[in-house]
Amino acid sequence: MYSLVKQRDTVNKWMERFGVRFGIYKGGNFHEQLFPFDPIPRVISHKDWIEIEAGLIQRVNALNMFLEDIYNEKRIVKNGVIPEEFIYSSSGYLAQCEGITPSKKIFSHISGIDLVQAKDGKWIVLEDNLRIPSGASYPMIARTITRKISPETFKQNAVFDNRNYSTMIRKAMDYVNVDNGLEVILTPGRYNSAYFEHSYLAEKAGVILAFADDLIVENDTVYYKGLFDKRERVGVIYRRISDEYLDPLAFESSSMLGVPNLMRAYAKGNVAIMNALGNGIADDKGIYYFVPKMVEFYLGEKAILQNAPTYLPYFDYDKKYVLDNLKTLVIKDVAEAGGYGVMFGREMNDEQLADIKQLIETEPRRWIAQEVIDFIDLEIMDGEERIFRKADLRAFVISEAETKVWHSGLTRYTRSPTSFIVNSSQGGGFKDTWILKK
Amino acid sequence: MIKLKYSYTTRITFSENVYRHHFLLRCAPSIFDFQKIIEEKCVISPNGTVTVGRDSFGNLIYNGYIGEFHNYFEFEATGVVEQTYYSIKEVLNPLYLYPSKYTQPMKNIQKLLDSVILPTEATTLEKVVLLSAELRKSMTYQSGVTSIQTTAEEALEIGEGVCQDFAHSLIALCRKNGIPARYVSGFMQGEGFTHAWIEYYENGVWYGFDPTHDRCIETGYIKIAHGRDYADCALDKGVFTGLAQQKLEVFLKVEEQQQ
Repeated sequence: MYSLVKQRDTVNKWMERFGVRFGIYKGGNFHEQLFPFDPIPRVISHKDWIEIEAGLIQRVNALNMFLEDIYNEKRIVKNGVIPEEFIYSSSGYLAQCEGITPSKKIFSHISGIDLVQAKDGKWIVLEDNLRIPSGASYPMIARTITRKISPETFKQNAVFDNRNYSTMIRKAMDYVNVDNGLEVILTPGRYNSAYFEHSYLAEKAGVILAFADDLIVENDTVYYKGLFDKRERVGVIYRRISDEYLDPLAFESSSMLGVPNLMRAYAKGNVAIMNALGNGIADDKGIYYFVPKMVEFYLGEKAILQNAPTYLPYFDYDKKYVLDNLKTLVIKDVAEAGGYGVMFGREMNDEQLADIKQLIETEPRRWIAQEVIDFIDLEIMDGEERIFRKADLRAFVISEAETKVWHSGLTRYTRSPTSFIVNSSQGGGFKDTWILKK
Repeated sequence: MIKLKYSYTTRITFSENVYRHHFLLRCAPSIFDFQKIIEEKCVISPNGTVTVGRDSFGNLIYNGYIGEFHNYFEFEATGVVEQTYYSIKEVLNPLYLYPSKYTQPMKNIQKLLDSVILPTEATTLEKVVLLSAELRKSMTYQSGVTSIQTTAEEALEIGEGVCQDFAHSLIALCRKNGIPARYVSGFMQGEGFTHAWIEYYENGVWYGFDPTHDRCIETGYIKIAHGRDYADCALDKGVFTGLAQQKLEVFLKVEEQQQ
């Protein structure tokens, strides 16, 4: 591993050449930046992994059952486990998806579950991402490069290969494919923050990278327009465009990125869309609170993986606790993502605390509060020096005939020593994630 | 019981040729407790591929595609419905109790809510009537001021609006008072434009109320589509490729057919 650490700059240079970057919008301008790679991998022991894996499979299975239930019978609401308000007032709930059963009843084909390891060694789920979780391509390409630059590292360490991610995606696409049609990844284009990933996955999975213009819906069937306008039936779309922009006739009319009438083809079961539309209801920050309860409700099991201790001001008993302990809690706006709308009580002055108290009082449903998890620091290289930074892990879970966890993950670390927010849109870098074979 | 004959034609003329034209129309009535379909037809031109389906709210949809160049688009929906008193027995979908895109209550809605006190013993209809009366103090009918994008809150800010704005505002007021309410698109007896009104829910039944005319609906309103708000009930939507100006003409006529 030492040789790998020495070659950090070489790895980063290769990644630059491969175009491994992500775009961000700041002040109305688009610019791309590199995603810095740190050569010291996060290593997860085989024993730890066995438990994480079982916990993730259980969690994602429950979330898939929840989505099926919410868009059909709503047993979990009728049984009083989740108050109806949390469903109907969530921006993630799409009434347009009521009664639609996706191909093979899978809603979340690719789930990105964000975990941290607490100082006592326990793994804790911070967030579920069931819409368009991104980031798997970074450890994939990092591994490809590091294996070339430092092959001896992987001779000496028994690490699960992670370059099979594209095969897993492909299998998931094959599984839900309707009538053996063409398989495409639908991208909003090169101004999307994850465009590198779209093109890389398409290449590695051996599927077509399509732009909205390449797809056309006629007779409630989706076609890909190839060379000379030759049409081919599409059976599955791994879309990287969010729900509201996916079909201008069903959702946001002004969307130029979408495929008109795609929703009609989808509703008639003529095409599979992964991930399904309407998944936002399951990764709503307010719904997160209920995930361990979902595991019990749908599977009759205790949740293996725990949530961070979370409070919903919606419930009076939680509201009192939150208002009394604001200074030690982290407050999150349920409508925001990507590290935005996250506030730490200890960083706020009295005026800000009063403001947020007021907001919690007037719109309790909009906020969740969590205990700040003291999660472990990971070593990273800063020049020639080893320093410590907070890091999380996004695990990728693939649901097809079975639910499987990718034997790797995206480990992101913070740039600033005092920050707890690791989202790549907030700066920071990433590491490879090693799962040991024994 | 009355029979209503309707003819609803929309014609869009493009200044230049357009192609790759996708459309989605809600232009034909569905069957409800109070409304039977005797005849129903929709002719769309120029010739394209058309399929018929239903959205998740149960509204009838004609959607299709015209790939070739064309300089106009027209659909002509005609038919006859038979109606009794406007009411629909249905299990309540709690969805209609919560704010939606166009009906988000903010300061203007709140101001109205604060200014009207609903007697606790009032029936749901009485409450709706009181809310509608209060709304009319803050909004007058005026076309051309608001657009299909205008929310209830924005229309109240202006203080003027059309049927869509009246409906959104009253829906927001109802829902905030715990009365389930939904948006309806359709046709009114007579000649002119398409119309929008609301349905409120009481004891297992949806009833119609027209806030633009401040009255309960008995018969004479042909119901096309319902949903949380306008976004779920747009009568015609389309996207096409081409740089063209559009001229839109709508002809609507609903008349009672003598038995």
